[in-house]
Amino acid sequence: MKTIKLVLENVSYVYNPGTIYETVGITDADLSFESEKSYAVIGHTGSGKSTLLQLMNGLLSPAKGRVLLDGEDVHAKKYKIKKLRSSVGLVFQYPEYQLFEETVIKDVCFGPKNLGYTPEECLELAKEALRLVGIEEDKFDQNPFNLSGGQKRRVAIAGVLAMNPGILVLDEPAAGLDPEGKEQILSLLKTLRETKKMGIVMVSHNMDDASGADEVIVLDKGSIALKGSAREVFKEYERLAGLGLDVPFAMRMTRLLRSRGIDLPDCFDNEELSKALLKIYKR
Amino acid sequence: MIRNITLGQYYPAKSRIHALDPRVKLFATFIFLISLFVNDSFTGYIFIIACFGMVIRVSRVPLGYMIRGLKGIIFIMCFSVIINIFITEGQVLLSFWIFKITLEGLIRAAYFAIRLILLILGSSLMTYTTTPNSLTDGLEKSLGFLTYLRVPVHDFATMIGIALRFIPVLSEEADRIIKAQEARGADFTQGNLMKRVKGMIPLIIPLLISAFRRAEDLALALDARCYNKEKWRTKLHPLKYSRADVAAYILLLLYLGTVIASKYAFEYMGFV
Repeated sequence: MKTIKLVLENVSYVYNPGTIYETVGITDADLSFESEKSYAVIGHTGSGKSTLLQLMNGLLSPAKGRVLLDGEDVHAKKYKIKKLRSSVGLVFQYPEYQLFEETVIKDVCFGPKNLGYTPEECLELAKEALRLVGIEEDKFDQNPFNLSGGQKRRVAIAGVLAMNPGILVLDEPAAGLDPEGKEQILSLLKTLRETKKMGIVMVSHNMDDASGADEVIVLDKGSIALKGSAREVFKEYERLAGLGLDVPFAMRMTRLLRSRGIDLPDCFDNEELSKALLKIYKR
Repeated sequence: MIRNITLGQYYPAKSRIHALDPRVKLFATFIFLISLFVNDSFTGYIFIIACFGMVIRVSRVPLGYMIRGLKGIIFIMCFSVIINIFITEGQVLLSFWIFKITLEGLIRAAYFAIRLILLILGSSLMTYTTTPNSLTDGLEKSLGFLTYLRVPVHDFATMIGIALRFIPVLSEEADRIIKAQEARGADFTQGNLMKRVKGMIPLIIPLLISAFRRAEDLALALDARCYNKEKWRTKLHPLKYSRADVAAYILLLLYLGTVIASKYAFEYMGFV
């Protein structure tokens, strides 16, 4: 797996400039993403999350600013955009809607084939990706449309993983799945990061999922409102509430218990909270 | 990309044209089309374009926006204009190999192009200023008399309304699928024709599937709300003519009268 660094330098994007439909996508975003790290992007609907993801993959080109992959400007004239596409894998919301091939394996081969790998290499990459997402071998030759929702989603993610990206970007990968399917996706992301050293950027509406990330980026109306480690960001309870956002369950609970007069230290996740509560209980 | 289809979409604005009864606008489109086919003189076109220009002005739909909607038909237009130039017999201006360009051919091609452009702009002005819902209402009411001939007018009106309503939904969906496949390294803009047509498969199949899924959901939703075509369905907002509508009808008839009268007047004077 390649180790890469993606930098957004003062990037802005506006939709339909100069018409009545003009809307701000992203304003002056300065961000940096690396392999091996995980990032969570949170924000209210319309805060510019999807725009940000599409800028990272070169699907949109910034009106202002630069997108740099390992120091190279990806919108420079000579730059081959496929290099960015293979380095930064983008998984859209409900990616199962992009499946089109007759068999699972063929569909997963689509990405590597586009990047110019030989058929044998494609097959190898596809099999590896499918194994990673936990699709058994007997499903490889099945029609993807006959799979369950969670399986379809994992096949679609495999379609991007087969391109061997150094950073994987996902737009709400767990949306619309049952708790089991959701758990599978989240543990997949964890595996990818730990064993494959892949960078993970995930848009999420669930603060408990976001709290597991190394860095949390909070967007509001296209601007970066907050940025930092999960602990730092979620401390800004009032600020987040003002943006229509929540904090992880354990932090919410701690606040509630404190307001009822129970003396608790700052608890960040469920583990810390349960330990603190046990301590009080034993006393 | 695909999302840039502006043809046939509603353009939200507050104008006198937007406020007219949809039946008036349907009638106006009809009258406009007749006038285009009745007229065959240059002066007539100036009159028609002047009137149409005023209507566009009043409608507050930007002209540039309307013209952008014409992009999709450029190919068909060029094709028919070229055919017209070459196949018309008459006074030869220029000839090479088996082709010859005639004066009559050029004039006919120019008329043809003007007619086609006005035809499309005219009918798209109606969709720009009328929401799919009120358009459907207008159609249903205007053609209601056909019910007596056992034509299922209501069904057709509903179908047209749904089709119009889903154009933006599907084009947005297409845009999303294109992006998703591009993120997987697909390229929809390169290669020869054969390669490009083949390259459309990753777009067409997911789009078809999603269209079917939406159709199914919609059918279920209609069913769940007990939608049926009982004869006496009532409307939430029944159509009612206002004074402006009556005035518009009168103006339209005057307009058509002028176009027809001028045609015969010119013929009489030996202009054409």
